[in-house]
This record gives sequence, C-alpha cells and structure tokens, in this order.
Amino acid sequence: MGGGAAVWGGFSSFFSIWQVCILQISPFFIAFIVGIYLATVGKKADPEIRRWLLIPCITYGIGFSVFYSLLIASGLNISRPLIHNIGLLRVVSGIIILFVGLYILLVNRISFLGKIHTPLLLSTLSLLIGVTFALVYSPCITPMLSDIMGIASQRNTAVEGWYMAFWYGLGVSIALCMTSVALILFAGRQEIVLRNANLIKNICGIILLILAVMNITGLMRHYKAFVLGFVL
Amino acid sequence: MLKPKSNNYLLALLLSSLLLIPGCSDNTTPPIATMEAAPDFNMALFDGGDFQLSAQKGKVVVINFFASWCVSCGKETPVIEIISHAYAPQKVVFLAIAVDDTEKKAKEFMKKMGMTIPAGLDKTGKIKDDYGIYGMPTTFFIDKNGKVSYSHSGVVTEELLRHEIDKLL
Repeated sequence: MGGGAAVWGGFSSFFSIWQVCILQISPFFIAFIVGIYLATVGKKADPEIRRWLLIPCITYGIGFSVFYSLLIASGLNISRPLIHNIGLLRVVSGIIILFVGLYILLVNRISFLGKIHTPLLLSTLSLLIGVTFALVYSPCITPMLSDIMGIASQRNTAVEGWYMAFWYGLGVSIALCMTSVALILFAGRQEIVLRNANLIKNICGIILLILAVMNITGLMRHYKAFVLGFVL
Repeated sequence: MLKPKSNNYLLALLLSSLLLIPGCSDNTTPPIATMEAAPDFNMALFDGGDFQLSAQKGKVVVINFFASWCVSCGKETPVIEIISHAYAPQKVVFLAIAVDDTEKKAKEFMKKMGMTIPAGLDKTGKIKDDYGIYGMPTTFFIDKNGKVSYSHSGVVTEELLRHEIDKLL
C-alpha cells in the first residue's frame, strides 16, 4: 500500500458510511471555517478571502494528519505518551477549542481581535484546530485503517505505518476541507447568509464552545452515543 | 493580494508546522507491547457483578473494546459470539468493554446485535487510556499469566480469534 492509496482511502471514507464516525469532527470544522469566513466577509475582496481560507485548510490538514498518524502509529516511542494521556489531552484540546470559539464570537466586537485577524493568525488557529480535532476524534477502524494500524503497531514497521496513517489522515482532511470550501462558495454569497452573517458567525462560535465544553467535561461520549448513534 | 510580508509569515508557519512531524526512528515500542502485563482493572458488568482482570489468572482472556456508534463494531459480534461459545469449556473468558459510550446505548447495541458475552462500560475512560485505545473496535488477547499476547485494531475474523486463542491454550 502506498501513500496515494492511503490518501484515497481516507478521502473516500469521508463520502461513505464511515462519515458517521467522522461526524465527531466534521460539523465542528465546518463551524470553524464558516465562522472565520464570515468574520472576514466585508473586510476583504472575495478572491482574497478565498486565499485566506485555503491556507488555514492546509495548516488544518497538517496539524490533524500529524497527530492522527502519531496516535495511529502505536509502535512509535513518541506515540506512547500521547495515547496513554489522551483523556487529559482531550481536556486540554477542549480549552484550546474554547478560546477559538470565543475568538470567533468576539472578533467583530473587540477592536484588538479585529486588528490581529490576519491570515497568519487564522492559519495558526487552524493548525491548533487540526491538532485538537485529531486528539478528540475516535476513529472507526476501516479495513484499510486496520491494515495500517497493524503495520504501525509493530516495532520494525512502525515508521512505515505512521507514514501511511499520515496520508490516510490527510485524505480525510482534504475531503473535509473540500466540503467546507464548497459549502462556502455555494452559500457564502447568498443574500440570506450575508444578511445574517453576524448571527451565523456567532452560532459557529457557540457550536465550537459546545464542543469545547463537551471535551472538558467528558460529555463528548453522550454526543457520540446519541448523535452518531441516531444517524447510524 | 496578500502582502509579501504576510506570505513570508505563512510560509514560515507552514514550514514550522512540519517540525511537528517526528524524526524517523527504529527505536519503537507499541503502547501495550506484546508480552507486557495487561493493566489490571475492575469494572461493573451490565448483568450485575463485576469483572476483575487480575482474578482471571490461569484463564485466557479476550477483551473486545467497542462502541454503539462504531460503524464496524456490529460486524464482528456474530463471530465473537460463535467463538465465545465454542471456547467456553476451555477456560477462555470473553469480555466486551464499551468506550466513549453510554450504558443505555451500549445495552441497546448489544441487544440489537445479539451480544451475550459479559460486558460493561468504561465510565471514566481509564481502561481505554491504560490499554492505549484510539480507534474502535480493538481486541486484546491476554494469556494465562495476565500478559498481553496480541492486540488487533479493526474487525476480528473467526480465523484470527481461533488462531490467537489456540496459541494461548
């Protein structure tokens, strides 16, 4: 199995029954990307906004894929403390997501936040969101992922498994980013969206705050059990 | 247009993010290395009573981590049921542990899938963390001395279950 096949495996899982598991993160990423888009609308010309979104998508993909692959590659020494402390790391992730949610809620209300609202900041936030989403995610193991985890758990093939897990995670990220950007391109300039841009942005921020609280308090298991279970 | 200065910042950010990628190393260890002592735990069972792993010494223990919302978990249930019945007379203990789940949903899942092996809920996530579980389903095979013989991430097959259990009997 090569990197290309792994990317395709991750990408295609997004558009299949496995999406049910990806619902742990996909609505929250859409809330994040739509939130930062709507926080930027009106301040910049459209083509520039699209570039503003493209780079956050890339940094999200890198952050998510690196940590996702480390958590998959259980044979690596570096993975061990991550996996065994994932409960604590999910709480820390919740705190980071809390700040990102607050940023989206407050960016247009506090002038200081408006001044630091730059592509660099958005890319940094996206990188953090990618890392935190990899930590709060509990993947359902697809047949391809099962093969990758088998390779990644062995001492002598862990690096190879980590490499494939990285590309698999990147495939999931590409699909998620494509869907989010398509949603923005399709709906982002609709009159009703622009008229209610501030309201929608605030809802996006609140959705992230809910995710944050669920991870800090351990209520995420209820989201998984009831929301994902309901879809399934 | 983005300013050149901003572009430089973005390039720097992208390159620095690559530092998150760890260096390649052959010095590797699985989270629960095979033949490492299985972390002990005590868990309340859905049907009453509790399960203490350390009390199972002298028996082969098969632990299946699952979740009601996991797409693939239901696929392996029939196989686990067949094998658990087939090996019941041979001191092989099966246990299912629901993780990232609620008791109500886990019980509903078990009823729907016809799962009858002893099961309980990892309420705090400690068992999951101790065993280094990231994805579902994951199955551990523990020998008669309480050491992890093998773990499998993903759906188990009848052949795999028979092979791993037979090695330990």
